[in-house]
Amino acid sequence: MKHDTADKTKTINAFWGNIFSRFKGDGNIPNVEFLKLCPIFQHLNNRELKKISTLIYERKYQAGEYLFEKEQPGTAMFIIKSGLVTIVVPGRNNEETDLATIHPEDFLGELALLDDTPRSASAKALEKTEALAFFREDLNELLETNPAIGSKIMKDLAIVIGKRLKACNEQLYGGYE
Amino acid sequence: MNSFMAGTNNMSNGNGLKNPETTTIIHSATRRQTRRIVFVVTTILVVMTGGCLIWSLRPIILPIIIGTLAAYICFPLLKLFNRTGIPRGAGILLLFGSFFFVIIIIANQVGSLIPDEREKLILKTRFQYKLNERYKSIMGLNDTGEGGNILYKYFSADFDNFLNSVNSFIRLDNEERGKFMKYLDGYDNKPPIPLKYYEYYHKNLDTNHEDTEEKAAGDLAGKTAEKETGKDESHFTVVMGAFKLWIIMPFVFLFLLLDNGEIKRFFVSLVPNRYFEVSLAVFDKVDKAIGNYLRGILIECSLVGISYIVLLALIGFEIKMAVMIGLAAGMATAIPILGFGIAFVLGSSYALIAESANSIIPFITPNNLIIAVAVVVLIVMVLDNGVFQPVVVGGAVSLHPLVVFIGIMGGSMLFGFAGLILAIPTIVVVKEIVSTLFRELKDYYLI
Repeated sequence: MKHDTADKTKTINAFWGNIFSRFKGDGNIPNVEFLKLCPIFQHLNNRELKKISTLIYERKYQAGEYLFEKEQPGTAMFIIKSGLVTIVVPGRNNEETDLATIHPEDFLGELALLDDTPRSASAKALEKTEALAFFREDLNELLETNPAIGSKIMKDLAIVIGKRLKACNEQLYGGYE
Repeated sequence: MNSFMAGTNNMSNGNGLKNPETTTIIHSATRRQTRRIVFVVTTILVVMTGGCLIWSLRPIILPIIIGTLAAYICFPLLKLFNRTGIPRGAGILLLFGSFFFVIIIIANQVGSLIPDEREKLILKTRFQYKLNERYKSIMGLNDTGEGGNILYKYFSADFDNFLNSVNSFIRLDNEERGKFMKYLDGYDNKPPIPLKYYEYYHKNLDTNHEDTEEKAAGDLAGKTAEKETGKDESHFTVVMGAFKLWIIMPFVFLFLLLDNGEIKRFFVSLVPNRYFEVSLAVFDKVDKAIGNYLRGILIECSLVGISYIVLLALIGFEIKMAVMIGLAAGMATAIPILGFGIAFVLGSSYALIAESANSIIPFITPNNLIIAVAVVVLIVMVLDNGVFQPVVVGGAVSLHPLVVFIGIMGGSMLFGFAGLILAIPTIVVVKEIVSTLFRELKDYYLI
């Protein structure tokens, strides 16, 4: 039974974990350099990344603070600069089930860049955490004013979501093959 | 006793030392309470200081608001420039140059439309004469003020009192009478006042039961040089004072255009993490709603103003007067309900003093010009409610008439004419901020 739970958590982790992370730095990288590491911005050049860095909001969270909570409308994607964040689903009696742990350079809540449908899980800082937030309306404005940048981000976002969907399908149906 | 002991046991670890967990909870509760007190006291202090600052800096509020409104209206243009490949810097330069150019053109045009001293004297004289003439005609009085129709018989006391108070308000005072006499033969490179207006002037004196124009002119003649010097100095001071206040407007406009989201970022950085996402949503929605409203109201005011100018010119108003009344009525459109009343008062005031009506519509004469003005106001009202508002503003903003009246009264009492015009847009902005904030807080399950 214990083994089953561990397997389940591992499976969910594989879904939530960032499968695109390429570099694990020390957390003191300037924002432009840091954004380069995020798959959603990987095809942007330095000038375009500088533009994005002017749109980014830097937030600091204490351990136990929520980045966002389940059922709230999503407005921004978060990229973890330093610290640790856990993805949790609140259950009965205020118990929370951990789904995944997000490390520096991972990102979360990217679906909020598409629309404001409610978050499917909560994100809670496990320790002192620094995060960069990218706001949906800033992306929409980029699509209007700088379509070249906006379309690159949208294309990479589609690739990220597609890869996650494939990973999810493999986890769901892989066992039947 | 037992429960007391139990409580004591809970608080200590048996050696008389406090339980660290309980101490942390107490510290945390105390800190929360202290934080709350500090927050409340700071908020009160900030609000009071802000109120005092706004009150003491109220002369520069109007230029700041106009600069901000102009910037708000220009943001979509800046985006359009970006989209068409014009660099941001060049776009800002272009908009700033255009803004300056438009300000200079407007100042120049408005300056030339505003009547000078001679024209003001003529207008006042005409207005008083025509008002009394129309009053006699409506009340069925003869030249000596005798007779009168049934209306006059019943309400003569009230109507006469009202007319007397209007007469005492608009009649020329001693100084103005002296100036009128000077301008009568040509003065200060201005053409002489037509004799027709001198007749009006005399009739007005009879109405006022005063015959002191000779004395007033004589008194003033000796003081002319002294007064002219004084007048020039005060004009210079007034112009410099206005310049000092209004110079802030283009800078507000420029710096808001140059702002690349830093102002918003600063305010968002102050927001606690719990409210971060909701604050972004509120900022965005309020920004869009206010931008749409302000751009809509500007276009609506312009369309209403242009409609008035065209229609008033068609019914025979002098072009200069049609433009002046059209501009004022267009601005007054920002005031719901009262806007059309102001337009009618301005239009009918001119219709009262009109010497002739050069209308392309044959049956309009100076005697029925006031009816034509009423028809014009009605047409513009229908156009505004049926076409301009639904298409441009979209009816998104609706205020209770009581709020409109209290807002206008309060705005004009606090900030004069600027408060009168800007009260409603300000109330709309505040209403939009508050309603969006509460709506979003509910959506985020925070309240």
